Amino acid sequence: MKISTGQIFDRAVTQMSTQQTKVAEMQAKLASGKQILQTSDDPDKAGLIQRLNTAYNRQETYESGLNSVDDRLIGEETALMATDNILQRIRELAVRASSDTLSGADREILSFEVSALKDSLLALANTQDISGNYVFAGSAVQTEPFAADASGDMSYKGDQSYVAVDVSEQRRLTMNRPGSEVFSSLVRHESDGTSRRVNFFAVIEDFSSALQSNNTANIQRSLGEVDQLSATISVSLADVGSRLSVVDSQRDILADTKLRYQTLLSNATDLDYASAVTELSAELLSMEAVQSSFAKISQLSLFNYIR
Amino acid sequence: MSDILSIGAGATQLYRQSLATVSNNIANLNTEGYSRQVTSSAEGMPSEQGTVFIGTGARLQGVTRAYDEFIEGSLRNSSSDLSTQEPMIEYANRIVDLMGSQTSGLSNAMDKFFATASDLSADPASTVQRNMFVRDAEGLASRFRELAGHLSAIEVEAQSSIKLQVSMINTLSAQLTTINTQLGGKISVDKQPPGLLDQRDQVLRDLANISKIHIAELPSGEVSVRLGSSAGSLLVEGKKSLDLGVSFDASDPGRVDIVLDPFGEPRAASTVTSGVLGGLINFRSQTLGPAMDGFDYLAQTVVKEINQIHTSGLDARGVRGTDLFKIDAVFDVTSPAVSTNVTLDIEVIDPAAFKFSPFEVRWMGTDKVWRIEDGKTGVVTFATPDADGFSYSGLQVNASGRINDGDTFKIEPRDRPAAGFRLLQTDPLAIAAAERLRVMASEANVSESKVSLSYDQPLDFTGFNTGTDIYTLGNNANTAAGIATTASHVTPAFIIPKGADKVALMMEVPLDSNLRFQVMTHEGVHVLGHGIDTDTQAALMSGDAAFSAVDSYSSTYLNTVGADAYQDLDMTYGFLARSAERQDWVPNADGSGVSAQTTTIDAQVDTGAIALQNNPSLVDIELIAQDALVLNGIALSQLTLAAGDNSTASAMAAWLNAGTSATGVTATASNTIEASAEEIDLLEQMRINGVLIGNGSLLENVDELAAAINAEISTTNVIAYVSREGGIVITNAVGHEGENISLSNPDNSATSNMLGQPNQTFTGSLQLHSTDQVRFTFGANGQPADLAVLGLRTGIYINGAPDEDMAVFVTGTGSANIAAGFAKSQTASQPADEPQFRVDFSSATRYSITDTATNTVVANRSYTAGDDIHYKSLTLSFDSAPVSGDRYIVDSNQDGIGNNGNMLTLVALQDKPVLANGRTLSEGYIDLVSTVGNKATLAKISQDALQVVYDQAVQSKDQVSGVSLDQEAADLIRLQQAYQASAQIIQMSSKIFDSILGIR
Repeated sequence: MKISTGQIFDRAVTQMSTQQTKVAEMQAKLASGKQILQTSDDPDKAGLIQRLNTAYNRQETYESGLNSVDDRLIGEETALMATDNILQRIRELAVRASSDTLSGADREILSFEVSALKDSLLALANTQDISGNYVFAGSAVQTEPFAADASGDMSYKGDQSYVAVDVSEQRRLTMNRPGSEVFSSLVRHESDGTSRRVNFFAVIEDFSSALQSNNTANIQRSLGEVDQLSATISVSLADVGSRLSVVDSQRDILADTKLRYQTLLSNATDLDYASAVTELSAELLSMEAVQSSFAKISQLSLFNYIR
Repeated sequence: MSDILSIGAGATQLYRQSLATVSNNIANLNTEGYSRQVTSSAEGMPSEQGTVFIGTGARLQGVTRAYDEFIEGSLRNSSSDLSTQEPMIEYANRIVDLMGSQTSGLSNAMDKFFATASDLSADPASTVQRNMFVRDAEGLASRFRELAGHLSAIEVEAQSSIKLQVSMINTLSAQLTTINTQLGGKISVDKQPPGLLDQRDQVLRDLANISKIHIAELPSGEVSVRLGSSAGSLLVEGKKSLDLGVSFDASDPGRVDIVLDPFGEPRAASTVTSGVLGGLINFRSQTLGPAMDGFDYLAQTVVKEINQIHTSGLDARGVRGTDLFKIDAVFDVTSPAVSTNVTLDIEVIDPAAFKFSPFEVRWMGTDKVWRIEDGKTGVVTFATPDADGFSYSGLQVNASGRINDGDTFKIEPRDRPAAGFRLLQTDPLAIAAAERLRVMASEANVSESKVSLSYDQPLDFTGFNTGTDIYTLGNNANTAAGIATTASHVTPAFIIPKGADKVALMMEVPLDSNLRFQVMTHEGVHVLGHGIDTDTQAALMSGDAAFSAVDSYSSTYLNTVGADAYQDLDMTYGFLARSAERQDWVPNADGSGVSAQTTTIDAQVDTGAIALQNNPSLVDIELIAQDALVLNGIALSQLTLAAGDNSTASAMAAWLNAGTSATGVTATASNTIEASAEEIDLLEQMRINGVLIGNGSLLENVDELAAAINAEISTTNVIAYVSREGGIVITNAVGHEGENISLSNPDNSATSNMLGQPNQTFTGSLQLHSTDQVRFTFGANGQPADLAVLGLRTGIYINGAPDEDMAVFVTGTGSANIAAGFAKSQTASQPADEPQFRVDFSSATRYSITDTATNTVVANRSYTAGDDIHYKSLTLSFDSAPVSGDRYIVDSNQDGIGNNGNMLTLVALQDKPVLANGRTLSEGYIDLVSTVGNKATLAKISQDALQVVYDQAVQSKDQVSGVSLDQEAADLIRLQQAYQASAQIIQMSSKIFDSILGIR
């Protein structure tokens, strides 16, 4: 077999440039720390990386959703705890007022405190979050949920919608409790056998006026009703508390999930330096071999010996 | 001796030439396409000397190329195959790098859009979040546009690359014809100069690199070349070559048309599958085209899906959302002749009419019109522009700048949706984050039951099963056009479909009929008709499966009007004629143009001939009972017929006119009988109202007949005149309008008379007139037969389209002809809003549904604890049983700006398999990138394999034709030695000669 002189040179050049490309590529990978420099290097893997990135970004979105829920629930919890304290105080007053030792004047004095407490309760029911949205108005967040109408009767102006936020692929967490459920009305069974709904604030108002009018029967009734209100608030508190604990556990799950995706992403994108460096040395070695062998081979020519 | 000298001389010459050839080989070591040349020598013809043959040395036979045509052929083929892969790898990789990049790809922008949507769902009332949403929506739109722009840049580049390759083929073909011409000078290829053949082979190799070719070689070495295979298009033959041209289709990037002889007789060239050109064409059809199509499909799906969600929610102002994104058509505007700086603004206003075909517009300065020429059909139209420019095939075109006569623009629409991806809604408050409806339990509810609402459930009512759809009756309210309908208490006779507008259903009944109309909704609301007993109620609601057992009959809205009417619909049962308004354009008196003038056309009714009834008894009889008919809301008094009288139109007119002050309706009566010239038979006789006309003498003509009738006016109270057509018209004399006219024949056996009319009493008709309306309805004891007394038909009139199907029953006995008139309402482009309603529990087992907009109780149903409530496409579910007095209200979520329901649906879109093959949006995009990437990878693998084949071919060729310096060095030494030896022969021969000369 004959190998033409031109071919010897061509081949050597091709081999050297191939080797150089490999070395340069390896160097770029080492410099960037990435397995894939351009999508075209490995389109399938690039697709995987995109998917993982999307999934990872999604977790971050869930995290921010979780934070919103957390903020909101803490706000609700604070307002509910204050409400609970006030109701406890009103209950104490009711117990005291139902004692026969108190005179009508004493009871009237108590009514002032009840009125003041009622106003504090109203302020709590109309709690706003940092964005100025009413916390207990359902989704009608710009409407003051508890306000007296022209005749002085209190009514709930918000709606009964729940706002839920996605906190994982499968889980959607409710972040509010409409005011109609928290400061909920109760059913009063009248002496004539009928039943009717009485607004949360009307119950306190009725207590206050019973104190003023020294109506012991109604004071007694109010004592029972305040207990009911207190129970409803406790239920709401328990509900908020349980949701807060869900937030915590969901946060842990989210952290795990993020870590998992990070690991996967790292496996898919990051360069294994140990093997990469080894590979680079191997490439360099073969490049040197090509170069030195070419240098030797190119020296060989019959003309060297023709004198 | 001389032979020795000549042998020596010949040999030196031979070796000198051989040495020259070797030197030439060494010199051309680096010449592209050079084939090693070899000298061949031959033994000289021996000379015969006696019985022996003495050799005469050697001579140069020729210099030939070291050449193998099979190796050359396989080199060309492998070069074609190898170069096919290169463009695919290069361009496909560019697409993959562009679309798959973390920064410039779509995934990133899409993730961001959904992430912001999710953030907005956590705080829908926040203006900051809304702004960010708008920003990232714009980001998504512009990323679509950018990517589409990059793709089209690659498309343009591939296009110019193809053009370059085609022009290279043309250049090489031309070179080949020149070489062929030179080769044509000799007969045998052996005699051809080696250099010329090398040149030929080099050109062929270059051609094969661009496209696979098929070669046929003549003995002289001339070649003819075909594209692809032996059946391909002929490019070069002898001294002739044909050019190639190429054309592209802007709307189909995958398509490339190679044309043979584009400037002579253009015809399609055979397909090019390999070589650089083949690779480029493959890239366009297999990679670029599908990628662009796929990207467009993705863009269209994104727009469709997101808009669908966005338009079903409510924005921060409590208004239904509008389209969020839009896809504009993109236009290429070129101006072959334009004198000033004019720009065209083109917008698609009617996507349905827009045909994506190119067109040319030219401004005709003198006529001030645009001349429009369709690019495909060549049809020319003219358009006069207004302030907004002019419209053409669904486009609105507006030119800005100073237009001069003859300015011409070529407009080419390009069907690339992704390039026109645009954000339409930039107002943060107009982002529809909230659900459109909500349900609330009334605060006064005693029960603790919580209620929830779900949308878009399949409708529980899908239409009536029985009854004829009125659309099938044909739009002709004339009774004759109707169909005979038999009364039934059980199954609906007709169905008025949802959305049918301006419905009129007309029935004509005889005087003794008890046929009646009844109109029911499927919820059991009796809308029009007559009060019915409970048995009939049960019967009406039994015959069609659309009536549900839980619904109860309701007569609350029976024949009610105005605000009390069922859903405030304008409905009439009885007879109706209304005044109308007409708008005309009337020239102004001062000649300053025209102005609008509204003319009111009063309500005017011509009844049919009233029913003829006579009273043979001795007491008055009742024709229409007291309060049986109601005219314009006023109950009419009793209409009687005196003993021995016949009913007349004039009496009825008088009866109606008695109430004019209350009803506003004036009635006039008339009685006219017309006989045409053909009907008149002057040989017959006639009595009018008992008086013999013409005294029995024979009348000559129609005029004499008229005169004869008029001669008896004083006794008949009937006048006659000759009509324009030559017939006779007879009518009541003044003061006797509307009275009956009886015609008879003295000859009792005759069936007709001089006028050709039947022998009978003709009754008159009524003309009712009102400036407002003529509206007959029925009182408690009225029915269609009462209207028939007045010569009127009974109808159902529904003005305005009801939002549900209605069933029309015909009750009573017998049958009647019923005809319909209607207008089909157009289907709305926006999804219809669901009804807002409230549910009231009157007991734990019964509730009513009230349409809140019109305050209409649309249903009254029984309830079983635990059941859901379905109304239209909405469903209410309860967590515990509601009790008596409970009220649940479904209304628009107008102030619920803290609601995020719609945004959650939008976020969920990212996991929804909306693309073909059940892929989500981001999967679809990644697949698109992977598909292109796989094509590139595949091409790379092929390239590696084909490189080996090509290298082998190159090696084989080098083995034969390549120059090796070592070989040449050896040859050099060998030939040099031979040359020296030959020189020695000459010297020796000289010495021999000297020896001979030296003999003394």
